[in-house]
Amino acid sequence: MPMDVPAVALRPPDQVMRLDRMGAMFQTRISFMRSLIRRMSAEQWAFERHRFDIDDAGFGVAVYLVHTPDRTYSLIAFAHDLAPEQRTDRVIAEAWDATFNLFDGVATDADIERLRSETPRQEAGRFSDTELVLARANKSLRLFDHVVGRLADGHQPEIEMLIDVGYLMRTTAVYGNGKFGCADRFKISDRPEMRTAFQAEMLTVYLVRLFTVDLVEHIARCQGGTGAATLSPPVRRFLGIGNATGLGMAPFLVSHPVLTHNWVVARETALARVRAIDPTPRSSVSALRRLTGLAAVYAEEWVVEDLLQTERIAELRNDIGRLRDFISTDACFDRPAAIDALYLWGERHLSLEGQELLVSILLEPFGDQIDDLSQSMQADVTACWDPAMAVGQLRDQLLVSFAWVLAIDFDGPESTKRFWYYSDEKLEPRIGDRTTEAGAEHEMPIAVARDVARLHAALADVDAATTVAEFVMRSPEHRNAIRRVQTASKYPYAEIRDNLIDADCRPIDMLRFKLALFGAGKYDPKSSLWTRINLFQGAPFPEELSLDGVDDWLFPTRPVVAA
Amino acid sequence: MTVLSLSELGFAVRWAACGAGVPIGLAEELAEAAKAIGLAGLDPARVVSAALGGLAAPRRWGDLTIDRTGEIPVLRAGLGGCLAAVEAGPVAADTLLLSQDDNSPEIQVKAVDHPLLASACLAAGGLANRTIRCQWGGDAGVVEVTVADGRIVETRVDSDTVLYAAGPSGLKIESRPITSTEADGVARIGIKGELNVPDQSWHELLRLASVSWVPSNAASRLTGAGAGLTDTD
Repeated sequence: MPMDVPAVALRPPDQVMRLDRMGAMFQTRISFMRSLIRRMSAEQWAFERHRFDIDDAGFGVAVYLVHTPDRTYSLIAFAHDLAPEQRTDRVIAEAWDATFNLFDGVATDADIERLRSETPRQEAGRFSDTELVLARANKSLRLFDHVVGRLADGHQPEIEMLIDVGYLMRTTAVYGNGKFGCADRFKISDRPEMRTAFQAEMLTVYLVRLFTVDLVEHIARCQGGTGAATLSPPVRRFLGIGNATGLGMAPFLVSHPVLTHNWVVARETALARVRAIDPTPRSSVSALRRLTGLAAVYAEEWVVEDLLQTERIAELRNDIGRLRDFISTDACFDRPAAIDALYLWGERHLSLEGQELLVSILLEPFGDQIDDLSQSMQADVTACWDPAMAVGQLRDQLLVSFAWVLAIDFDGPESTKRFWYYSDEKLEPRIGDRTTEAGAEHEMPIAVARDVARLHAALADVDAATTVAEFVMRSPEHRNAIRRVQTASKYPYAEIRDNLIDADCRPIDMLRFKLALFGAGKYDPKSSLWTRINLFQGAPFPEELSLDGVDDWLFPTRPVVAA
Repeated sequence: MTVLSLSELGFAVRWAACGAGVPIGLAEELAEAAKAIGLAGLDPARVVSAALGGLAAPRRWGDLTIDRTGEIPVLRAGLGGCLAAVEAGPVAADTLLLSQDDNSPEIQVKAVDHPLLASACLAAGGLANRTIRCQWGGDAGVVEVTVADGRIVETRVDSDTVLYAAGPSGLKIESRPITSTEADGVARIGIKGELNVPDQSWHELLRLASVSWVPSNAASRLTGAGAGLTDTD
């Protein structure tokens, strides 16, 4: 989709596409969840609990319908009895507390019976192109049981428990795009509500959140009878859906370079447009101050066990304090190009987490300037290929887009230490040590930097006038690297500009980048390969979609419950 | 029959190819070619499995040459013998792309092991706005496959045996700009998106793909994914 050129330049790929910055990003108002909620509200989607055959213990089947202007989708939810020792978030799990499908249309009883035998088996099941998404979730036992118990006794849950966990269930996989027989993306990609990437998956998660709240209230009612309480609206809204995210998400970014570019260029264009706004509207000044105050509370409530992330959050809290001081005076905004100056101040004075949080804050008040960009966050092409290009031009392109790889010593063992692979155990993505573990010959094609460095070396003695077709006919092992160079030349934000097989690479940075684009929050790293997050925390429920402030949930904070 | 999505067919083909030692750049194109075969109602798993199973190991990649001494360029194995469709198909597509200035470029592939697969690579090879006709066969029958805008749009075949035949076949490829009538026809076909693949073919393709899965062990199970084995928070 063509975009206008803002007066302020986009941040360059060498700045944006580095793992340390990607791993510091936050939700923005053009993240996928945010744009989905806006569409639900604008188009007045109707939600219906169509079936709720759940027993007193909370097991059974439920169906939710979503009526959009042009069609209906169904969430089919199966709730299961799961032994605690079976509860793992890993891909290698065999059973879950709940399993789901997003169904295209209104699921019939026959559809539900078919899926009753397939969906609980997840990867071992077979699905058809009426199923758009396959997902599963596990309970947060602490919070789920606590909330049920408190509601059954007629009380609201303890707020500190809510802040500590933040969700009743967490999804451990949300599969779309043709997995296990489900519908390919092309089937739905021309639908307005599904045009932006991952909208079917986000809708599924939103409906799962709805189901978890209905489920706890139902069990509480069965236990407490007429004395049972329901969740107060602020408490309910504070409950998101957790997600456990591992390595599977990272290779997606490498295998979808144009899509990655489009996501980033939308985000960076949004920032550039906002930085170009001058003078700063007074209403925006107050909004920026209010959001910074909310960010301070959000950061105080963001507590994790991971030591590195704890240090980064502590630094972020200090950053927010500095930011609050800086923007508290009118002088900050009574100057030419004040928003741009504020952003540049952040680059000089804040940590990477602080800088990226500032980006999210800056974008928030300017929806009328940037919300259209969310529609460009998809891709119709996957990569470029031009066999007629001369090797000399290819070499020039490589030196522009991949100059950074030439600084890496790939002869050193540390720079090639890791390899990414699919385990034969349920195809769980894993990372191994090339120097001590077997299987590196089957590594995923993640090592773009190494492969482009090899291409550069191979091109050294090739005549500049030789065509790519002639070169690659003799050296087909470089075909993929050439495609990546040509693609990056046209789509400069397509590549992560770091060595993904280096010993010091932190895959979690890729996860956070993608999750921030989804709209996730409360990143809770469990290792450098794995994180938990919260999705839709603070987002409006269906009956709240027509209220004022429907889009105001960038920083969900402690719910205030009337005594 | 197994009903597949395009996505899972592409995934299986890509990894089966990698398991057979095919460079990833060619494996990606093979996956797209397989989708084109499947969308034409043919059996992509059968032809891909046969093509990958027939690759010599170890194989010398890049041993191709284009003879331009005659009226029509001829693609042949550098040391004689039979070309692998996995490699010859993308090279033929690149050669046609290079000849876009020529209104009706042609190319002959001297001897290729799986001409259907090589033809499908032309569908996947980025040759937009072209109609490409591929012919092969002999005494047992003749096949004519027409490719346009990334799709196999027509298959004329005397027998399935010839269609899926393995073994050295000469492949004649003719290309010309697509007509507006043909383009409209391609657009009308759309993408049905349902691939019915015989179970036996599909299982064989999965077996080949499984070569690329690294065997799990106790250590990799514990540390390879960066998360624990139970989650009871």
